Amino acid sequence: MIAGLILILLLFVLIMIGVPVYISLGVAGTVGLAVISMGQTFGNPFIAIPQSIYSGIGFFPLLAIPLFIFAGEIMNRSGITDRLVRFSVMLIGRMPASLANANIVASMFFGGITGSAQADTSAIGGVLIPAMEKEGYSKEISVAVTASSSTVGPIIPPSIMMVIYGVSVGTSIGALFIAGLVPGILIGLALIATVLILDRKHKFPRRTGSLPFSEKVAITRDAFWPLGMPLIIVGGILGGVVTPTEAGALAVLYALIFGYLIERSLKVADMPVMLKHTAMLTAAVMMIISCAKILSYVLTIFQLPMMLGSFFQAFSENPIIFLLLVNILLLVIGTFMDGGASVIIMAPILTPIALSYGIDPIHFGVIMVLNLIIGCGTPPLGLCLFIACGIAKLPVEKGAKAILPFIAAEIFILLLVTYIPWLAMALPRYFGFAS
Amino acid sequence: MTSKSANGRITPARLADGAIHMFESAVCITSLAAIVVLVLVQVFYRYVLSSGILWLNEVVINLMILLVLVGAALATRHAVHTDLRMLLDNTPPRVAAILRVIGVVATIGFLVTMIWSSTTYAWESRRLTATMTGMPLWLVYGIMPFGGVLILYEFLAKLFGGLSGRSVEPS
Repeated sequence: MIAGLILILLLFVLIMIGVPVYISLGVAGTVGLAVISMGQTFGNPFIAIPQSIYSGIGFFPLLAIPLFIFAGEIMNRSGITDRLVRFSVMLIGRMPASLANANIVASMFFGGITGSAQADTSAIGGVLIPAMEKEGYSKEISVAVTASSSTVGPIIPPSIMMVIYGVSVGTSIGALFIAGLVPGILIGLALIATVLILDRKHKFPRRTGSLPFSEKVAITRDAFWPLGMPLIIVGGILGGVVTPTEAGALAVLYALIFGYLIERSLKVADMPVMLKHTAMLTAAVMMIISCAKILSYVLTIFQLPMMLGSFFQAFSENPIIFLLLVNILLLVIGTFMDGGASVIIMAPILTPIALSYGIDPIHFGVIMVLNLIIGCGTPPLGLCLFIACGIAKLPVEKGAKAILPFIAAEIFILLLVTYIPWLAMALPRYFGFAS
Repeated sequence: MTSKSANGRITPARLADGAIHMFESAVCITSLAAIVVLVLVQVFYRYVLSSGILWLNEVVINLMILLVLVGAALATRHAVHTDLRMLLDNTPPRVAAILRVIGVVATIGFLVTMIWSSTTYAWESRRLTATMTGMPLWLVYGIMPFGGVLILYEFLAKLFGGLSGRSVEPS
């Protein structure tokens, strides 16, 4: 137990001193293997490194990750951001704090296409942060709204983190995708509510003009193709027609048809650039997963999962208390560590304990992802906050302070989803993914 | 990627660096394109022709290993890997320098261990073949030490890049 905790401490220290996350995970795992090798007289424990790397990458369902990233990359380069922003602005209309709320709605749509919080922050933030500032919003609010709403991306399907969780614990990825839909929408609504509450104090700008009907039709028509992609992914998986990996391939095909034949905004020369960018992003995600598997293996040897299980059982046999402790633990981990790595390390440890408390693994997966994505908006490893602050040229400390009300709203929804399982489980049950 | 040094002169080292960059990019682009095409072919066979290609999944997985290991080297060159610089940026220069040295030693230590252990793994599998394709497993597992060497090269080139005038376009 102590050795396992020291390794986790070493991991945090390495991350804090600027060592890339995947290397930090690998180093912590390797040190653990070295400790194991001291008490072992036969075999080579370091063989666990290539074994973990190979099994961490070479698993067919994980192929969905590069395919979803590639589909999102193609759609992004095809110029969907402007279309989605205009559509969101039209939907919000003359509501108070119009542009801030349109930002949140646009992020929800964008999340359904890319599944990546960071891609959302870069794309939507690049357009809407300057637009919000121009309309009279403060930099702090522009950053806070953009960074917090971007975190909806990994909950609304398709979700890379859900793929990783599904693979880690052997749960249906399709079920996880559909289970994330209602919580994702709820987070979006909670963020809109937060903007409206803040509007009472700050009196944010409100749009007064109305769009002519013909323009509304044109904007809706423009948004039709980008919004068709999540429908294909979710519809295909729900209908039992395709697996998530195949849905990813179909999403790529759909995006290529959109970019090259319908929108015609892409050139042949764009293809190698998009492929290379996707390859690098995929490698960054997959290296974290595979190195997290090394550490996960070592922690299992040190019997950390068993000891943690005994600790939770000894602390309380009440699932409500267990879920509260898990939420606190994951919220803390999410602020320090990459979401994918956290899932790889924590899901095999916590999910069996959750099962012993009678909690459905699909429900638990949604709770886990919700906890970890909240960390994307908070320092020290709040990538969405860093990107948004970079766009607005705002010090991270100011952005971190401004985002607090939005984080509180997200935690409120997290607690709702935690203690009202129906919110996550209604759709999977309706579609026959869960009993 | 330029093959010129800081003073604009083309050197053998710069040429080799440019060639490695081109190789990494070509491998990543080709393997990802192949993965997309092969998965789409599999979808076509399954749903249109009602049959599957058994060897295809194995090939796709091996391409994925190649994509990730070589892509990780490329991601090192373009600084795409996730890291946290906030503490280093807000630490006195002397302390930051010590922390950087610790980080460098840890990184090199892990990469060398990875290369050594995966080479051993590939060597121990030299008489085994893949189930469906019959491909020698040392070749498949050999991608790991190969990728590890490329990552280590990119890391060291970046570390000493400032001295040799290596120019890397940010991603």
